[in-house]
Amino acid sequence: MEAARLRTPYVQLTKLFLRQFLENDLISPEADRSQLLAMVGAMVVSLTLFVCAFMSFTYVGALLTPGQTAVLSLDDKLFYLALAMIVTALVAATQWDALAIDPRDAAILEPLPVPSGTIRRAKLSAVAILGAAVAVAVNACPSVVFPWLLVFGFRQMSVVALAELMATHLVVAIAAAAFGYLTVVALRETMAAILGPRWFTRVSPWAQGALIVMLGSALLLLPPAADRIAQRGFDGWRALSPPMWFLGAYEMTAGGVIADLPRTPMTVRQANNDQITSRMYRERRGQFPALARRAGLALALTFFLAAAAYMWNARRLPSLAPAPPPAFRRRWRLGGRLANALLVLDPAARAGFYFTLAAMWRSNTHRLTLACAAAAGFAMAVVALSSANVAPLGGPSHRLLITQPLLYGALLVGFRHLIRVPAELRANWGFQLAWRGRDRAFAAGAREAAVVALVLPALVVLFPLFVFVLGPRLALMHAALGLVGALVLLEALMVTYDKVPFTCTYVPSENMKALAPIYALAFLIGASLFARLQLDALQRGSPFRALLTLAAVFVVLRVMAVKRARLPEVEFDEAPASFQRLGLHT
Amino acid sequence: MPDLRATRLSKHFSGVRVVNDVNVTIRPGEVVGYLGPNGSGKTTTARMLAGLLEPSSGIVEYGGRDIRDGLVAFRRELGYIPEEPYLYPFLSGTEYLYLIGRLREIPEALLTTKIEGFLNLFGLGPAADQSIASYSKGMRQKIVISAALLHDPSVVLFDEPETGLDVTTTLMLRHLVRTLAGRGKAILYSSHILEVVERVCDKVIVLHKGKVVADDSIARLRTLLSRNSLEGVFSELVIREDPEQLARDLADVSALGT
Repeated sequence: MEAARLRTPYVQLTKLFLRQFLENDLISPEADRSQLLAMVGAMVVSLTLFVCAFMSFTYVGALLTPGQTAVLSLDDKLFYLALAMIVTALVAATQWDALAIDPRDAAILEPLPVPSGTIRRAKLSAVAILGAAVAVAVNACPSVVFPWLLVFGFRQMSVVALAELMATHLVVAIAAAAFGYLTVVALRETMAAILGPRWFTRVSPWAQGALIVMLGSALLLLPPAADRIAQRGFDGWRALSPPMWFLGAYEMTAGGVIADLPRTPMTVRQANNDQITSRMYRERRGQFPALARRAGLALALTFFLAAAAYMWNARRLPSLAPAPPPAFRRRWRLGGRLANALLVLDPAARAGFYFTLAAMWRSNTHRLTLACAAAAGFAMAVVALSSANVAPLGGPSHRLLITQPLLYGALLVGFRHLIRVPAELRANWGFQLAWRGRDRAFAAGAREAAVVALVLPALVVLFPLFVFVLGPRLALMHAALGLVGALVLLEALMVTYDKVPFTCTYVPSENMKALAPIYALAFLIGASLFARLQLDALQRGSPFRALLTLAAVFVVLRVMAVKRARLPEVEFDEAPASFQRLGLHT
Repeated sequence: MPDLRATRLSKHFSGVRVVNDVNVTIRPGEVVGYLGPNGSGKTTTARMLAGLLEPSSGIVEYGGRDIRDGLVAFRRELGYIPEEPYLYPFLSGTEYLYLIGRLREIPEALLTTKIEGFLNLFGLGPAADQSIASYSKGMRQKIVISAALLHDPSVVLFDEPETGLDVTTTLMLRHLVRTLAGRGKAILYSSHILEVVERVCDKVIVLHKGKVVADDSIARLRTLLSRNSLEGVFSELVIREDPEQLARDLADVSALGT
């Protein structure tokens, strides 16, 4: 009976849709999904456990009073709630296309004798299971460890009260996660319902990229944002932040568990601190009900909107060709002529330039990678800006100037990673046959595409800010120096690259785990040094010395690249070294 | 123009021999048919001849030189139309042809003329700027054929090129193969459509389970095996089961339980 139930079309389709969430260009079709799931699960659990233990050290190490704990823990609670919200929203954003029935799935499944309602229900179930799994994975450890360590020093705390705290944490954090997840689903489905298939196909990739940039930046900015919130209060614009609403719900449900604990004997100093913090908590307490109501209302509205839009869009299954896809060339004809005349004169460089532009923006995997890099860049830039002087004509400062190399640097590092990922491995036979060994020219074209598509937009985005703070002349000088700095960085990143961007097999770096922190540190030091160089140039009012330094570095890098021993021929289908050692390759 | 010659070509994957001691010679102006049932090793041979797959043993020579000693130079003379037209789905047909043409360093103006010519002759003009993801298999195949002929190659390897093509294009393709041969190109035409091979090829090589079981002109094979069509010759050499009996068995399996 049970076996028969597990074989129903609904269960089979749900399993199929769940498996599809794990399918992407970076995971081999032969990869062991159980192993992958176990690895991701273990990573999430160990990471959240580590974060929990690290953050809760204050409560275990210091002798805090209930009042102090109630106030201090607000920061951490907000952190966990926002983390749950952002992570689930980020997962939904990365699975953007898989959140609804794919036209390809519809084309395959529609001819089968399975009611379309079953297909829709199965997809909906798979989407719900994914959201629930992520929400539980992210919140399971903190829901047990955080409340336990929070009240670790309070002997007067009963087991029932502790269980209440844990249950509240779990329920509110999962509600916050559900809100994040449903918001992305609602956004996608509402856009699809309003725009229709034709326009949605065009807008969707950009919406997904923008969401990832926004959510990624929010994730990286979370630690500084969740700091001293009790002192800052919960009114004004802060009351508009969704994690605050759920914090209100948290405190409404279990805030009293700690704040109202019976006081045990304490020193005078402790008693004073407890009195001050307890008063502060009591003053904030009045704001929690309104925030909690807002959380409930927002969750219900999002759920309703997501469900309504989902059902509206699911009236019929999507067709394989909803609309004629965009005509690429017509749009870029003028830009293409300009680039051909000014930038890329060599045919192989031209091939590299246009292929890079297309692969970066039109291939899903590559666009997502770039969006993540942009998110990291924005987050670092915002952190730097938060402590910089950004008054009108306030003059240059290190913290202000570093925003520029941080933003384009993150984009270029992302670019350096994504050129190693093939855009469509099975299609590289075309390259192999037409290849004339012009790898340097092709890579030069790819570099120029990176400058045009990544560096220039980054400089343009930041330019108004610098005009505002530095004035037009210094802002222009700063932008020009930034461009030269970007060329140097690109040269440095490409020195060891001797493959054909976007075409060769992806061979992961075997010691990346060990080297990643060193690379990250080198990146930050490099950005800081470059900002110092720029500061010196802007304070002198002359970029000559800085340009000379950059030119010298550029020449050294170029010579290194030219002198470097290269492989006689590009190997398009290279296997990882371990495969080669074991003779598993061809 | 030089010959393309493969001598004692073998390929094995994980110990399984897929192509076994195959000898092929294609001379300029000659169309060699390469016949065999599914899984007989046709595509593997074509990929080795194109230099896309390294043989486990044996050698492929072009003009007496091992192609591995100068793959780039050999591929300047080569056009290859694979069985599965895998292309970059995010490029348009025009963009793909520009990419290949630029990689082959064809001058831009000439490339533009050639691309427009191919697209118009293949009737792809209206879809030329749409992404390849939206193309049918036949449209992709037309793009692949255009890409293979962009640089006027001396050797053309067709690996089941008629897959997905409509009737008109298939007919045109047959004439194209003959026209190219008439212009001195050396052509390998791998297919399992016997009628096409019979009409287009000067000689055939029949492959079965990775081994060559016949290599001669169609007329001689017909005489030798006393058959009046290539289908008869092929049946004699390759087909071990009775196709009619097999068809009946398949229908019986389908009807099980009804």
